[in-house]
Amino acid sequence: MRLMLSTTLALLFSANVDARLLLIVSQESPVYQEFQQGMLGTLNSVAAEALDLRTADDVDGLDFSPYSAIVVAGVDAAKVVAARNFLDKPVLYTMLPLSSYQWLDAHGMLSPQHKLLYIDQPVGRYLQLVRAAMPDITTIAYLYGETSAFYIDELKKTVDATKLQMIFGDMMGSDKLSSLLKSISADSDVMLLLPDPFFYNRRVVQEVLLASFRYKHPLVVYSESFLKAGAMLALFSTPGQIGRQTAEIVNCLGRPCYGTVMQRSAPKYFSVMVNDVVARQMGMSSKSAEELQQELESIGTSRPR
Amino acid sequence: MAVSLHADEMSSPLSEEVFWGDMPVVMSATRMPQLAVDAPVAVTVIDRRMIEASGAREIPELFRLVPGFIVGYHDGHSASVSYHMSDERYARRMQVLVDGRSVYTTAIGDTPWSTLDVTLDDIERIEVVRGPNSASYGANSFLGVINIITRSALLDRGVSSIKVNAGTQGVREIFVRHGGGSGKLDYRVSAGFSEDDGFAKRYDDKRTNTFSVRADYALSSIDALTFSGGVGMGPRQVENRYVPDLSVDREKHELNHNQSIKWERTLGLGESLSVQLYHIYNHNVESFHTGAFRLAPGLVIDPVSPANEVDFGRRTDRYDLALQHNVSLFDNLRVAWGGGLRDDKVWGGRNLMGDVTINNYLKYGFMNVEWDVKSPWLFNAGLMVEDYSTTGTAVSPRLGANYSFSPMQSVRLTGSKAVRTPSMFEYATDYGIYGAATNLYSGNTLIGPGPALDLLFWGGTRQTRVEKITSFELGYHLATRADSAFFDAKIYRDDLSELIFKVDNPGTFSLGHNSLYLNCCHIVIKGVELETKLVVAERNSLYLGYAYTHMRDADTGKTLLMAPKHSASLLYMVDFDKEYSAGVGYYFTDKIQGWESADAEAVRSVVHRLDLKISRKFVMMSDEIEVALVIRNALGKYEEMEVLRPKASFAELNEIGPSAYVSVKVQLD
Repeated sequence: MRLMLSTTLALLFSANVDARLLLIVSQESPVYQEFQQGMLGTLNSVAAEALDLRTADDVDGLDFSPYSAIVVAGVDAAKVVAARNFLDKPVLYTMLPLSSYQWLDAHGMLSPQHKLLYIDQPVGRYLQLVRAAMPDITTIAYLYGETSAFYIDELKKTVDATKLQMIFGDMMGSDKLSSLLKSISADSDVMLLLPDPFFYNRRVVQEVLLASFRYKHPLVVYSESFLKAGAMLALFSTPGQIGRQTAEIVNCLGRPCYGTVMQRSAPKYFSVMVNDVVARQMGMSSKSAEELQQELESIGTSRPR
Repeated sequence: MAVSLHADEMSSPLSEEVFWGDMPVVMSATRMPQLAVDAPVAVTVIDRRMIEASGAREIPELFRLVPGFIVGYHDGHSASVSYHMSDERYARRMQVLVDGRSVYTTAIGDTPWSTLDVTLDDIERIEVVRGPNSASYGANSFLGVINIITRSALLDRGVSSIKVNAGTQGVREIFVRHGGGSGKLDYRVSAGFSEDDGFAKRYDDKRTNTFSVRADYALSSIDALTFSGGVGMGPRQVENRYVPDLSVDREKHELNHNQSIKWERTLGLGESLSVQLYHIYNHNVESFHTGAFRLAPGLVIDPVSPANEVDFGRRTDRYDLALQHNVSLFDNLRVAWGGGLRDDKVWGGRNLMGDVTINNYLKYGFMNVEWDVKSPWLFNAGLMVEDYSTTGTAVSPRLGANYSFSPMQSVRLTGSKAVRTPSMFEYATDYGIYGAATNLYSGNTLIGPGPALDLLFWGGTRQTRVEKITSFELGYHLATRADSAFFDAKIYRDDLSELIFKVDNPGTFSLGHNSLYLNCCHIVIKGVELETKLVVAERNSLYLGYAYTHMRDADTGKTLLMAPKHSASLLYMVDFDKEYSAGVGYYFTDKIQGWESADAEAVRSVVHRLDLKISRKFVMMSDEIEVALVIRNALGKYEEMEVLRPKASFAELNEIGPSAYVSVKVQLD
């Protein structure tokens, strides 16, 4: 099997001696170093040896012709590559929020036929997490800003398949954030936040965390730092996990693979974290992060439809 | 793909950083949690990783990292931590808080660093407000505020650890911590024993025992009660710093203890009420006997002062009751307001304050307002009104405006006024060695009574007023969502007036105070400070600080050297993998005038200091063990700040040489 895989990749990357795989990352940072490590740990040795690395600000004047495939990681890198409109070679966009991919696509900056691995969790996974961690919960409040309004339709469709109720609170559209949080809290048991730069703005984080504490409504979030700030549950993929899945897709480029490599893929690998301190403050007896993760993994990933 | 497409409506694509970014928040600037980018003043945060990587053994050493800070040691147990100027061994112009409890002593005005009951492992983070902040924290928040925040007991539940340090210069230390809890109660106890030999050639050994406890109890879903208490105590060797026989080497004992209880209720969204009552007690026992002292040896008639008992003891009792209410009046208007009462009772021994007790009563009220007028503008305003029984009423306002280019980038312009009340030492000291009759001798033969000798060094007039500062700061802050990286720059102008210094009282050397504490001086300090934290590679972080300081006497125009013109710090932190980590700390301090010396010759040379730490963590029998080697001052000897000592009699200077210690920490499972 390994010999066959190597042979296929050799065909892709070594049709001529110069055939290479190009990885363009948005920047050099620990996030991208973790991504690269995750990728290199899984990448087939042939592809790994053929791999060249560039950052988004270091591709001017670069001759792309030797590259048989391009992996583009991050929004800034995507903007740079999109301008070149590579229709003749496999391009994999990764480390992209789905909304950003669609923004770039809608602005004619991307070729939709290229592959995409986005970093947003399938929203159904959050609902499964809530069900697994707090089986008695009936109503989830989804608090959203301008960017995270993006997930509303998908949440509505996904929640229909569960026994959960969902209410929605527009934090950007609210004149009085505290009133909104108070009324939302009265009608729900759990609050869910998905990625939005609005949550990094003044007061918003403190207001939401305080509402969560005040009304003993656990907060389910999308990042480790948000969890540390006072949320109770977090579900996310680490850059290393995205790197690993990116490598798996690259390993399948140009050859048939077991399973189908989707044109657009959601994160397959993910992490669950529980803030035990907050859980105790809330009087919740949540399962451990390991138990929850295993439970979600056994359910399987829920892809956006 | 059924996900709704609102993408076109977005003004720019969402960055992937949102998924992995941090949320930097500081508490100390305005008594309200704020993003650093919204704070009206520069705030340096020393976090756990920096504490561990620095290799510091004592809390004062950490402040070498902070731009503009000056750290010095008078002897092995008397640290001084100041900002922008350092004129005496006692740094009186800093507010130092431990979990909201003000720990500077009213007697001298300094901070008893060596007997604080807080160990380095107890600290969650330290926030250092670089600039006056009386509007938030009252008197002594004159040059800056150090806010030491200890770990919540909840975070230490089920954690027990033992740490042992041993090294050169007689370093022997052991620290034991245990956290536990049941139901709504969480507690932590921490105990330590520490001793070292101080400076190599000085009589300044110290031995310290500390014990502290913190308990957090959840009274209800909205009420929290926190109790903390601790004691730090131990003997210290004190070297004679005057003429031989006039004073002697001796031992003193320091005792510090405190108790604090705080009730906090969450009233609603963004609204909380807290009441804190605390007591601190600081007692220095320092009495000794001198020998007979010949005033004019060699003369035919020689006045001799008989053997004398000297008492430099001092005691401070502080009771403080404070109330604070945080409330969001509107979505864009947050307020933190409150007030309190304080009683400082100070006693000074016969040779320090004439065996007198002074009470200094304080009533105070404050209000801080954050007004998010309309993006991108945000205003911070603060006001503190204090009424002291000794020095009267003082008002300290502050107004700042922040303009945000983005949620992570802002420019700030802040003006503030602040005051410092004199310590009771500056207010009413009567400091000296002798106040006694002499006997006249001819050779060894007593020939009769001599003149009374009243040899007093320093005096307070009880007329001392508050010091004043007017400060302007123009700053820029840039944060990144990822990795806690940031950059902060500020330029500032501090106008310090009514400064209290010792002023010569000529002609009275033998018959009264030879100097008096008076509101004499006016100084202007201007400068630039830069601070950044970078992630240079995976698991590699770099902290850099730099300060340029220019100080002049506003009356004479003369440039002063009570602060180094240039100073810089660097801390490189690296975790090689899960087991090994290391820290490299480099500190540069330009030349600076020695303490308690107006003599331009008493200038300390440029200092380069390098500290190195490497540590390894591993698990043995389910216990986590960390072994570390710390090499301090690897670049060789340098002179400490104290250069007053008459070199003719005491040739040995305060020299810090290279040293090392090994630390073993076992975290029991």
